[in-house]
Amino acid sequence: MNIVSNIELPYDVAMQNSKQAFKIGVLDTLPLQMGVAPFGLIFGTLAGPAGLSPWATMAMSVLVYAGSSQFLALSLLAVGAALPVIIFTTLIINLRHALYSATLQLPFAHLPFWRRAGLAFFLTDETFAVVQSAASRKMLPLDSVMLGSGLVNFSTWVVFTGIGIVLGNNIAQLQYWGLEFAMVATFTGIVVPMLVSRAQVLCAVVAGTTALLAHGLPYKLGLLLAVLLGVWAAMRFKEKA
Amino acid sequence: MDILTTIGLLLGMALVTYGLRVSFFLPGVGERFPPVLRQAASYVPVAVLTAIITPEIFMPQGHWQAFSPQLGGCIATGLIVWRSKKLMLGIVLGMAVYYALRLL
Repeated sequence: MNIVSNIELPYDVAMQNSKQAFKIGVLDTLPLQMGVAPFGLIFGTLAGPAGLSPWATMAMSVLVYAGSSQFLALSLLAVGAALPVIIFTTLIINLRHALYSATLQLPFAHLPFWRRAGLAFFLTDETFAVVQSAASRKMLPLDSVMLGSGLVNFSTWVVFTGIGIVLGNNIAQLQYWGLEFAMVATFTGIVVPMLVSRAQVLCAVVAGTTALLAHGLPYKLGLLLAVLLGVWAAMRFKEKA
Repeated sequence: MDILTTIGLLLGMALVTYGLRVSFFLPGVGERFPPVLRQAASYVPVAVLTAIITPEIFMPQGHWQAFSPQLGGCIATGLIVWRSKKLMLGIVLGMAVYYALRLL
């Protein structure tokens, strides 16, 4: 009896900790939903006018689960960009997720591969922020924090995409309301706080100017050219500085 | 859009995104993120987002336009977010300015 409880005790403690960590992941992610929910809603609403059917819109939120690149795909679809351009743009804009993956490599190195592979699906900006903050406060185990955070964030994204789809299909002529400006305003609001260094400002100026000048290129290739030149200019500037 | 293109779009975007997320969790990937790529990645969001919004602001109808409701709205959003650090507030007020200018 004694032996059994000795074996069970650490297991119980571990379970207790992982439940606690899961709860922390859930609770810390809740306030961030104030940002996720409206974006999910707008995404669902705008997808129809951009040319995505309701099921494809839902499938995109479930399978891709990356807000900024989904918005990007919509604006590219609306102007008739080619498929490879959209997918390559997705790769570029989501490169930061590889950065997150690299950051969490060591903390998750002890987990079995299938568990890491499952958790990777939830590696969004929001969940990464929650996991990082939990790590800095020594909340363990981190994988339980991440699972809690990921499930909350994913549910919000999918549910509000759904609500957006329903709204978009039931409110007549929604596409003429100029809602697509919400996307432009959102991107502006995201870019402005990032312009903290001269290299970033230069990057924005070069990318913006190139995008205007190369606007006429087919398949939206001007966008890719603008991104490459902007990043290249910033890197060159950084080298010399 | 036909069904094959839709499926290609969904699968392509999903695979690329998941691939990036799982990249450093794969067995045998021991290298840290190369510093040059890390540096480049830090400029990507600014480059992509700026490259998307500038044509929307300056060429809303497909041709050059020095002032548009879009430009007014973006300036409002930019100033508010810069000053207050409140993204949602900036978006909502920027849209209000955009609609106001459209009505003029």
